[in-house]
Amino acid sequence: MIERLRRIASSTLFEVMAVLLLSTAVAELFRSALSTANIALLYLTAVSVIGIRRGVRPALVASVVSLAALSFFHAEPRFDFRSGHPEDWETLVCFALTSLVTGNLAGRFRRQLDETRSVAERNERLYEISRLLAVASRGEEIVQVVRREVSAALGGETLILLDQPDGGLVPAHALAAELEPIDRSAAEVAYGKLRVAGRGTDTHGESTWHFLPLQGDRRALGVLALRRPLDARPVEAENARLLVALCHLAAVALDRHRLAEEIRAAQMLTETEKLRTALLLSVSHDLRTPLASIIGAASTLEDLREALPPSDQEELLQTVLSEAARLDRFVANLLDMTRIEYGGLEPRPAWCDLRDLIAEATRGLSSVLGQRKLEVELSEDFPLLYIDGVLLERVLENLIDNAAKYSSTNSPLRLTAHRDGARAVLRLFDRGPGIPHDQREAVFTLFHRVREADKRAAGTGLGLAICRGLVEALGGEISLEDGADGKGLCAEVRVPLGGPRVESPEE
Amino acid sequence: MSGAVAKVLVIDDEPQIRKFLRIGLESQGYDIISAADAREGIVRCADSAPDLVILDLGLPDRDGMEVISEVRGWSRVPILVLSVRSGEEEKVAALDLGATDFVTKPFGMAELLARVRALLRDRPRDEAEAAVHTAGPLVVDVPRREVRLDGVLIKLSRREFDLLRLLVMHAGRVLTHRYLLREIWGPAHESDTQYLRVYVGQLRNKLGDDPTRPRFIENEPGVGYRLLLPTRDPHGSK
Repeated sequence: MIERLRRIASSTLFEVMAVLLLSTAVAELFRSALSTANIALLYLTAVSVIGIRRGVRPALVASVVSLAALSFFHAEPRFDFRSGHPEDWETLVCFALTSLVTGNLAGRFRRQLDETRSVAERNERLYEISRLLAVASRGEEIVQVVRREVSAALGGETLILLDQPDGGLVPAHALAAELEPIDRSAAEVAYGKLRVAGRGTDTHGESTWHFLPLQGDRRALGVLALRRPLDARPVEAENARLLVALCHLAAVALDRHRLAEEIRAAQMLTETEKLRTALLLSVSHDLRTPLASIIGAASTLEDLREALPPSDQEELLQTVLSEAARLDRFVANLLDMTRIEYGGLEPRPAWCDLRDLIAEATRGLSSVLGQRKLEVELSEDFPLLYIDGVLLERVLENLIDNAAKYSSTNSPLRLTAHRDGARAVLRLFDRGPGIPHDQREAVFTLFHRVREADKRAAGTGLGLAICRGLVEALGGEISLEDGADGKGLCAEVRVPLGGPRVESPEE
Repeated sequence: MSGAVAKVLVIDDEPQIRKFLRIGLESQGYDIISAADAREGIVRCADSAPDLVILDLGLPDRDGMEVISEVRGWSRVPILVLSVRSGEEEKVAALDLGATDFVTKPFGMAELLARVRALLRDRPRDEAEAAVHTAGPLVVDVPRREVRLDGVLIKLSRREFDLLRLLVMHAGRVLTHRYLLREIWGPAHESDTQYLRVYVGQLRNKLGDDPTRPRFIENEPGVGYRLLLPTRDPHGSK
């Protein structure tokens, strides 16, 4: 009921009636003080108000009704349309002319106001969209924003097809249904000829889609298509302009995005080339060093066996074995690095006992560790880990190998593990020279040693980069800290305990 | 070794590996037959009825896995598989197909010989389970359900005993997680490896075994466990 009253109150007819009734009432109230001309001015004001608020047509209706009211209520003789005084005739004629002109002017003013406002709104919208597009960093975001805005402004569905480096237009998002062959032809025309095609045009007008080209700075990028319900009103000139403006914005954003991608790809290529050269150099060095030792030791044994005491023979044999083991580790590292670099690392978690992994890691390092002891300290409550044990073992092997390589052969190594909330914290302490604070991050980068042209111990410096890659694949972090009592180095690995924490198995 | 010399068939396409296996195995008194590809290997296996087959999984003509299934069609000869590092899935698949054990390449002679000895050790025994098993200082008396380490009685829970019994019955051989879980907890628990980890941990504790330098129970990452057979040097010169 209230709703209905409100609707009536806001209708144009009601407003015209109300304003005129009010004017008539005021005129009646002050009748003795006002001349007919004054009353005419009052009605004129009313007509202007209606014109400004409601436009030309209501203003004209109001002026006719005012004229009738003026001659009926106010001009002598009252309550009669005929008028006695000649000056009242003049007043009425003047009023008729003036009110028609005023009403018309006021109405036009209203229309212009409306137009100005809608232009301002559209510009504001376009500005907002261009801002959204400017911050969109991914191609999909740009596509999503454009589709949403076009559909919001014009109604119906929007789709965007983008060209591929190897030719052909491909939808930039999931499609509800496949495009018909006629739609494809229309899209090709819009893309190839850089003009509109499809519904509402002379080219493939049978298509249900209206296609617009997306034209970038240097070339066509794709097409935008709009499909509105068949019974929808035709797009107004104003909205057609908005659509074109949106297509332009979309094209600029997509162009910018593509350019950024191309630059990134070019940079990566250069970086890859540099890395490849560095890799080749260091790999050949790392392969040759142990090979030289193996060939040297084996040939010595072959040529001089008779002349050598058994202890020397034994030592040479050990050299062959330990250097071969080093080669094996290096090849394993190369394989790991390839898997990390090419993203082929998919952890396969299973329940693991950390002590098993330590055993496995040290098994392959017997020749590196020699007589040296690896002290292992696990906290009492250290749980089973649900983790890819093979990957974690590779991390431990590399860390222990590194620690052994960079500290003196009679200093102890200590590995501790404890639980910190939902993470396991593993620390490997050595008594070596350590690494200065400002270099502790750099040593994790691939081929750091190669880049630094470091000539100290043999090795590519693959180890720590691999450790970081593996630990990150496991969802953890690795860092270098001060060693115990500030001496040496401590490598700290934090990995999630993982898995549903187990209840005790049934006995 | 019940008198006769054990015959070992080596199927590997690398001549250098065949040579080194021949030298190593012959030095221990085994009789060696070699084959360079799957086809020849299967023929030799049928013709000469070896006591043990050493099979490289990467063969030029056919997948080593196919060789395992084909041989298993008509023979129960122990098959020792040579597998590459980080090929855990391959190892488990080979064991599931009927391979008896594996060695990871590159391997040392000591490690290989330990496997070979363990596999041939099973040979003369028939299906009847020996009542008392011995592995170095460890004695497991199955009917009495008693375990002694250096003569001292060790108290084990039922599941711990079952676990140790299985390991010691196949001493020196790898037993997969799935096999152990199925035998001890039943088929419904085949993938509950955390049970196994917990029980192996407890068992090692009671046997005074340091998991980081195991004396008895060795972990085979991603595959299973084996009970180490006492040798002079369990890890050889790897």
